Amino acid sequence: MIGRRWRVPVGVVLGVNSALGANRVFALVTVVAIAASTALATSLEMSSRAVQRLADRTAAALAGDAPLEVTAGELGVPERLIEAIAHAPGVASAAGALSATLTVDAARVPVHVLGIDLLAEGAAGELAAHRRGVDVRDPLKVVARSDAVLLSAGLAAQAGVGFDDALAVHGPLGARTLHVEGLLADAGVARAYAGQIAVMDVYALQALLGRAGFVDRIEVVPAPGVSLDALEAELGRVAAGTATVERPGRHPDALGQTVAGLRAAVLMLAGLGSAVAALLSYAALSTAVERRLREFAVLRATGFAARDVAVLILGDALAYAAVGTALGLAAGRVLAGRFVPAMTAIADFFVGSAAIAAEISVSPGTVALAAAVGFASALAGAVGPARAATRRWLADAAPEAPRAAAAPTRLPGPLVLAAALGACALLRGIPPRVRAPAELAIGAALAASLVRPALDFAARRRAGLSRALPGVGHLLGTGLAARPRGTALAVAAISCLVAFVLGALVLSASFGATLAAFVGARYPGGVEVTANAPLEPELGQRIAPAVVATIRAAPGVTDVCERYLAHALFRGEEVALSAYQAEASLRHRVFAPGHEGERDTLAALARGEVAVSETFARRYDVARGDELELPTPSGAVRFRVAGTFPNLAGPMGVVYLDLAAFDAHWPRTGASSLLFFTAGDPAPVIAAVRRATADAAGLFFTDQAALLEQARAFAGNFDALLFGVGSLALCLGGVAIANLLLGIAAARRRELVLLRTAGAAPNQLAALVLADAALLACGSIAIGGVLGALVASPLLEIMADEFGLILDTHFDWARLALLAALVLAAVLASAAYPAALVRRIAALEISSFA
Amino acid sequence: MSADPRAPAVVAEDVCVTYGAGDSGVRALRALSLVVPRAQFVVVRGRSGSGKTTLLHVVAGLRRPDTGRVAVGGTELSRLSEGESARFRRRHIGLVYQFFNLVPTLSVEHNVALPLLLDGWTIPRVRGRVEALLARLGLPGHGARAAGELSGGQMQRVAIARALVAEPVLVLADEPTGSLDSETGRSVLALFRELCDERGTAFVMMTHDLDAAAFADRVVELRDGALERDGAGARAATAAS
Repeated sequence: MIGRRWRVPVGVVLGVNSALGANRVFALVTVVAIAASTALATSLEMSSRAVQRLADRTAAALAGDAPLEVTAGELGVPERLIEAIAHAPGVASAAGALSATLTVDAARVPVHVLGIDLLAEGAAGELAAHRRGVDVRDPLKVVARSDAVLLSAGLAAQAGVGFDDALAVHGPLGARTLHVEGLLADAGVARAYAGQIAVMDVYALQALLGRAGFVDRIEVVPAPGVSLDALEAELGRVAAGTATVERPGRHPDALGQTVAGLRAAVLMLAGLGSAVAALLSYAALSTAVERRLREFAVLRATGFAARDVAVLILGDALAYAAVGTALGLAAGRVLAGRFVPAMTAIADFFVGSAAIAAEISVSPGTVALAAAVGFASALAGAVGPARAATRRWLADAAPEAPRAAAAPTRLPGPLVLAAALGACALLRGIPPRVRAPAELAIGAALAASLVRPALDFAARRRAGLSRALPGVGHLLGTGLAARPRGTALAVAAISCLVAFVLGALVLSASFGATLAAFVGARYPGGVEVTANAPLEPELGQRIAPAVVATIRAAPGVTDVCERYLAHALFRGEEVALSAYQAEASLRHRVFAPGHEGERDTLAALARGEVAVSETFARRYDVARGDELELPTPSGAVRFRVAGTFPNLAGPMGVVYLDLAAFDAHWPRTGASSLLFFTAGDPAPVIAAVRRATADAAGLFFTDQAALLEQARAFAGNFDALLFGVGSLALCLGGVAIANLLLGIAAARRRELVLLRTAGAAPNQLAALVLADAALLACGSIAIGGVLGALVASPLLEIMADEFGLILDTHFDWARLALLAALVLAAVLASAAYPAALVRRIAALEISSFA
Repeated sequence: MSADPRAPAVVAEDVCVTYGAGDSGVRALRALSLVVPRAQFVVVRGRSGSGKTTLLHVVAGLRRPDTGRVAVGGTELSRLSEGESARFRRRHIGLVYQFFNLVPTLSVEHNVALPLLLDGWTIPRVRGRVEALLARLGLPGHGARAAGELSGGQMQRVAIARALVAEPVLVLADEPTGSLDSETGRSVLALFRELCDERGTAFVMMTHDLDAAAFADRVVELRDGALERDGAGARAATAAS
């Protein structure tokens, strides 16, 4: 009754006392842990969502509101098909659309230019939605001028131009000057590509790109009452072999796939962070319960109901969760800003929207994720201690009688290990996205189950320990043994974190090594010329035919190998077509040198066959000897697959063919890149080429060494993301250790006081804490190392499935050693405070135990 | 920091200890002076709050007196630093408590050897001494057992063995029979007596137990922090008569 009557005020007083009183450090450590795990989850969620939203918005804005479109990918749909589609039964209107990426000279940024038929009736209606707020004095004037462009207001400001100004750009045909005929307000299409967008008349853009007679897609508006399914089938017949009929946004693209992969990683991390935070919450609250044993017993004796005591503990947990979640959300917002550049750089690698910044925002979903991680982990950790606290009675408040030592347990038989290994073997067949966390969970459970036997083993080796560490060696591990459950949980959590970071490091090293090997083998002795920055061929800039001819004729150039990159639809998905001059490639070993069957495959390419990247072969289950059907302006064409090559070109993969075969089926303007070879030092030849091309084409010249440097820089982005995530994970691990050691110090206070009265010096107690921490770290590093090596395999498979990166496994031993050293240092640093705390234990406290 | 073999086990002169300050301060020891020669078994009696435990803490070096001086085996404790005090305690003072205070996670052997191990000895080096001591205290072959598996009387014997293992000048015991039944308690007192005679170690025992005087050379009674009575124990009286 007393408890019920006074529950609220007494509960508040006791709650405040527990949160701010004797448990201040525990409260702080728990709040930091919850905040760190919340920050980890929300920062990755916000940054990946920002990139995803940019992609979605761009796709939606570019697609317009036409329910159907006829497309053949970047390769283009013949303009003549517009007429056929427009006259098909059930079609209200049909209009061609074209897009390309140019470079704005003034701002040195890419701009996505959308070409639409401004006069087409149906498309005009679709465009009207985007034109609200567009400052156009005379719409007909836009159509009338072949250089008229409508620029987003943001990009205009960036480029320092306004209405009626000239805008210098670089396109596939070289430098051009456009005329700003209007400004797009920040709505609709103007928000695509984060505002780096311009609109032109489709026919003007055709001329600018040198793609007369082709559009990227035909947007179709059906007549009222017409079934979309029926119309889709009808248009499919009309466009058969030349293009595909689709509902906009239906087919997955590389960016969507990439971001989906990143978001899957977020879920895994959120789960891992929550588990660690729950452990910390459990450790903090169970220690608090131990310290308040007498208090709870007295409260029960004076009339507090079990539920009232449980509410006190859960109240503590809620307070920790509320503060930790709020701090974590704020920290996550800041961290997301750091992660976004790395994420966009990774996405850019596949999609080519370089330097386009994604906007970060806190959504209801972010808050829900933060709350799920923060509150769920805190409450999950509070259930056990709350149940324990309700079982305290006054008899428990008496001075502690000596506790019985736990009976020694035997080392687990080979059965336990065999079961774990068997479970991992069984997991081999399941998707890597599920396998990675499952292996982590099995490893964590195994790590936890190994703790007790390992401590028993150490206990049997005390003689050796006392020799190795005179003074306190024989006590090594006794603190950990005093809290076997907490120790097991900490080892499991830290092993998981070490495994995760190690897996990430293996991933990073494998990515860097594979990229370096891939790039390093590609251009021996050659100089690559691009109109885009190296490693960003997807930006779509072309080297004009005249420039190609000039380079071929430049003094000192002995041979040239052109490349043309475009995108086509294959089985409803956008895949890259990479056309090389096969014979020149073979002459200079530019293409996958040393790869199995390289020579035969390149010879087959010269005969009109195609090769596919390993990612493509894996994704579409295509092998040598199979046939691929690709749409061309003159109808569908089947190509025989001559072999596979390695590539890092994204989740959809690449189809390789000879440039002559490409030219036989598709129109082409210039080259995406070319390689030229010289007899001697390429530097004077580059200078000559620069002079010959008047240096106005904005070309990039890259030799193999420079390309390697670029590859390293790109791999650095990947590293930066992993470094951020890894650092947070290590922080969590450090907090976990500090929490456990503080808990041990609190739980063992009587024992430590006893050691002091028996003659242990303060430094010896501190050394004991540090030695226990080191023991914990070494065990966790060893288990986490094995687990990390195991988990690296599904992580590499995830890279292949989600990102299209088939990587050779590579261990960077120096970085792995650094990781071990960092974990050890983090653990010892985390142990510093508990060690300082036990140093202050006075032998005189013995009187409080007797 | 080594003990002088000719010096008395304990010399306490004008020791004052006050808890708190001002009007609410409690004077636990009031100018107390006490000399305990070697090989003497002294029983200190007194009601709760008489200052017994404070005296034990001061003599063990766990607390510094506000005024006065305390020397054990000729070494003045107030001159020692925290670390030196810990080292002196593990080498020259043994402590026995009412609740035994064994380390539950250690075996009997390691509990007994604790002061020596903390002093840097290795387990193989102390093993012989520990086994002999356990045998002397009636616990032969118990070294490998877990401390928590023993009975109360056995635990107290292990605690006594730990207090003696470093061959100290002085053993301080705080109500060592308080948690034991009367028969076991008497056997512990008899053991103290034997060890005092055998080893020349001084024993100072704080207790309420009236039977303890029968085993002691000397009985000291405290009242409100001052020495009220200092006389011969029953054993000394018997010997004298």
